[in-house]
Amino acid sequence: MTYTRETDHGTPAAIATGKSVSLTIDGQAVTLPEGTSIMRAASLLGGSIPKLCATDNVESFGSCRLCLVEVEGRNGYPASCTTPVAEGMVVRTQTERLKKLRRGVMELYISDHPLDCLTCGANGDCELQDQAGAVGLREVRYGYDGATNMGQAKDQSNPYFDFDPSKCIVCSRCVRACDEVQGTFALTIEGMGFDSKVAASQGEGFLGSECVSCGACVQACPTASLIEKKVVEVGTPDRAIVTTCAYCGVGCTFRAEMRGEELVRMVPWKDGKANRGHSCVKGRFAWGYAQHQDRILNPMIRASVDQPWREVSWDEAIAHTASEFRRIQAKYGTRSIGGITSSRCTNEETFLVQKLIRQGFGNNNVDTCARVCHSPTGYGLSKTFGTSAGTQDFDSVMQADVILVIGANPTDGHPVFASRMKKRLRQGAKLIVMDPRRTDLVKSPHVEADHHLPLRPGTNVAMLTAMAYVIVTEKLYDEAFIRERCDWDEFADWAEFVSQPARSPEAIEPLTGVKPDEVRAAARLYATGGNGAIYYGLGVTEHSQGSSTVMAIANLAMATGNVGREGVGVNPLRGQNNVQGACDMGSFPHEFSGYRHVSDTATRSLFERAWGVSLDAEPGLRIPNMLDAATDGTFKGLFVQGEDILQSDPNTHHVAAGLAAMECVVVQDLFLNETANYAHIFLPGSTFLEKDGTFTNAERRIQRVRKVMAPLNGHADWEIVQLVANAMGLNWTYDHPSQIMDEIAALTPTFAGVHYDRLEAEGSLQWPANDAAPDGTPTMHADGFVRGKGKFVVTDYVPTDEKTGPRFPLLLTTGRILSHYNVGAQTRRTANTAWHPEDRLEIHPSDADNRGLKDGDWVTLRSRAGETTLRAQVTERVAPGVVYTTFHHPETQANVITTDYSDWATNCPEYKVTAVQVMPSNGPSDWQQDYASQAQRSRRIAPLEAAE
Amino acid sequence: MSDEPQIMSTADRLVHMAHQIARNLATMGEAKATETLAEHLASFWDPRMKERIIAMAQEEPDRFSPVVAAAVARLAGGRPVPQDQATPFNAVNEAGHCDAG
Repeated sequence: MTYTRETDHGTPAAIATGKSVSLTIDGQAVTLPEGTSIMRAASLLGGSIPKLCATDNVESFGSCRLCLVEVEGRNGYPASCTTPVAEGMVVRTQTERLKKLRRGVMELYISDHPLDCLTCGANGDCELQDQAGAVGLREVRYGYDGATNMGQAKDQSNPYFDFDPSKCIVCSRCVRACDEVQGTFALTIEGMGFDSKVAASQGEGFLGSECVSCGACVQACPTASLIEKKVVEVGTPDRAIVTTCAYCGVGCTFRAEMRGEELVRMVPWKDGKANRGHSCVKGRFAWGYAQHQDRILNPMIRASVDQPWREVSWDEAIAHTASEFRRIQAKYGTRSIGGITSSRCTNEETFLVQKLIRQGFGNNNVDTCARVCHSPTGYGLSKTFGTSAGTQDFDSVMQADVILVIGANPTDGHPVFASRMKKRLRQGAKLIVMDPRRTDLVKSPHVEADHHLPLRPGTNVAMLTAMAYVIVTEKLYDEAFIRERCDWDEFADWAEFVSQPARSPEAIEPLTGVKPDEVRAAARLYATGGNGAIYYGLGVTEHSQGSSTVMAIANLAMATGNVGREGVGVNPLRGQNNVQGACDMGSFPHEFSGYRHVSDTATRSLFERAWGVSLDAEPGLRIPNMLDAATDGTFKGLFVQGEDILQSDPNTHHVAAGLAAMECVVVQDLFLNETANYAHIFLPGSTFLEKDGTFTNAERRIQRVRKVMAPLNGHADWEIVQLVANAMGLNWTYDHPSQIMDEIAALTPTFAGVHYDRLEAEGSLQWPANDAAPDGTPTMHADGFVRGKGKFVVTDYVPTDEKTGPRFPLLLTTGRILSHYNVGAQTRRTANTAWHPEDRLEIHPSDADNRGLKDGDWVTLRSRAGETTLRAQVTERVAPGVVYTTFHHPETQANVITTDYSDWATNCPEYKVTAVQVMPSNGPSDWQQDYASQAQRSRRIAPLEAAE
Repeated sequence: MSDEPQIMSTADRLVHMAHQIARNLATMGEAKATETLAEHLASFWDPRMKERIIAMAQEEPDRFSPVVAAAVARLAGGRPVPQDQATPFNAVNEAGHCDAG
């Protein structure tokens, strides 16, 4: 794709009223939706009215006065951005009077603007430059003497972009983008008249302000005032390729803007249906890890983990991998090896890893990181609705009237979706937040939860059942919906269960710590406030009753008729960029692609015919069970693609013991991660910039990943898996990922219509996409549940086995922060380290006081599983009795603390409930110091021997 | 308190898991909970795990509640794994609508 800027129509599309308007612009007749601005109408016709303060992702402002037009029969020269089209209107966009007015406006702008275009970072990519040309500006009669706003100091505090007030034309596009698009309200115009200037927060500089570095202001800025540092350094791009972000489950699509093979910037794609032209700091800016010095580019092997690595050729590494796996199977049995697919790699790559394991290894020992995050979603929604995925697309939130957010912190974890949610909240939708912490959604600029239910960790099911109690006993359920769409007898059983007095908000208050009036009010609001949509995250799933909580959520949605149309639904906020895809592709040990059990003869026969082998009908090992089997001596080889279980999985001691017990651990990754400390073979992986494929986001939306540069390691990840497969005798012959997707489509009914040519044409497809739904499925269960009738499942509250007591009186819960992603493998290798350089322990002031702790003090955090040390952050965001930390930095070893307790149905770890004690400390724990030494030793790479 | 890190043995973990599942199925009543637990173990547990718990139920019956013991006995009896419903192709109805899930 050669470089062209995306068309900016100046103002957003009108909100649909169903009515159209016909008018004439410069002699051309056009019919458009009522409410469209004249500016947008002219642009849609292929013309362009000069503009500076207008851009089509924010509402019109009418300040620059450049976009004036003449309207027959009207006095004056109205601004086309603020004037809607009208029936029969006749508009002229270019007349002698308009030319004169526009030149006058531009003269004023340019009289107070540096004229260093040729050396300016925005040269060739500057709207001010373009508009000066468009209006035919030839002189500035005011001269350049006298007071100006030039010569002001630049703010270069942000690691990714600069702010030069001297080049600012105070169009306010940045302020409006921060308000309307991002919803952070970090920017303002301070001062008045000639002294007006953009300020971040209280004039603190961008880095120290409330700015979240989403880049919306940079994207909106028509001059070089806000500009990416990379553009200043490299120059403007010469081509752009649309691809999909490799961070979170929102799945933002970007134009990767390149100059040659150098990535200059990532600009959110306006046609991206998941992100609608917006992004966060990670996707937009934090891609430098692809060239980080830590990146390993050559394969390495070693005989034992206490030896340094030895660089070898690809041939040697692949041959060694194949021979080791076969040796282990010969010695310990077919089921003695397995693999973990990556939720960051593409659908095609994940499909190949599970195919390698099933076809090549001959077993079902495949699992994925969804084990530790949303496996309860798969179980719970499958049982109740019949499909293991969310029911809506992100656009659906704009039709919601009541939004219930449970155990999720989308402003940090799914920021681009959170921005859309906040937009809907500013329009008047109501918000209920069920979370132990006072997350940003509870109260932040222009957003305030109508109800915050700060329940004690581990009591989700009790709380949701109490809400169900209110809905049933007060007869707030949707009987017509239930009778038509669900099993009435199952509803009746469930209703009888939840309406018992022991389940009332009053009865469970001692458990949850939440006032019953708040619970009742929240339940009534969800049931009767209009379209009710539930969004939930790992605060639901990472519990010993994670699956039960998902089913309880589904019960509430069915009981209130909030399924099957826009604005409602059950929406799991999937974490990783392709964790949905990894699950879809058969990464679980009990399922083939499309969520079909390995024991299902018809399904298994389909794969056996396609792959030419008999396949194992027994479920394989989940990750925690792989580790157990390893220590028991029956599981000895592991292929890990793009996952870091030693940092991300619970009870680090358990993971380390399991890995240490294996004879061959193969890690395919970008960096020597924590798991690689126990690896014998390292295969260098490729980034999302270096391969073709697809990711599937939390909306079930399959989007293209497009290669923008050659892989520095020499191979795309799917090519590496093919090399291993062929070394094991499987004779794969894929030339391109599109062929892999064709195979997926042939074997997976929900993907039957997914092919690369369709994805090129449509941009994306939401599965199911097949003959029954050729254009995909934005909203699930529209006319009926996948399983037929929706199933009400009785979910009784069963307390976790993890108990507080005198030795461990506090409850630890964990989560993520905006600027880092999960274990931080990518973000720690970018300038995002400017924010959150370490994990901190959030502790309530009363708990801190009781322990003599101040903000910033080193503390020991101890549980029954282990202990670690980190610094305290004293805050009222957590309730007394609850502490919180993130897990982005391996030095912290947060998962040394977490336990082996897990969800009863899926073994999803109970990260959110760990009984701990906190006490002052002098510094890192013995384990941390030992671990750091071990990691350093393990990462040694033997120098290459000099050639003869 | 022991300063050694706490790692559950495999045997303990299998017993814990089975009983945890049973506790979460308790509202079904004993008969249904037994059947559901047996199906769950058959559907989701690797053969080694199934063999181990079957052996443990015979060697250490005191560690097992009646429901779990009964479920493991059913598992040992070779009850077939239930077939999860594959995502069906739904027909288009007269009004031209379909649920393509």
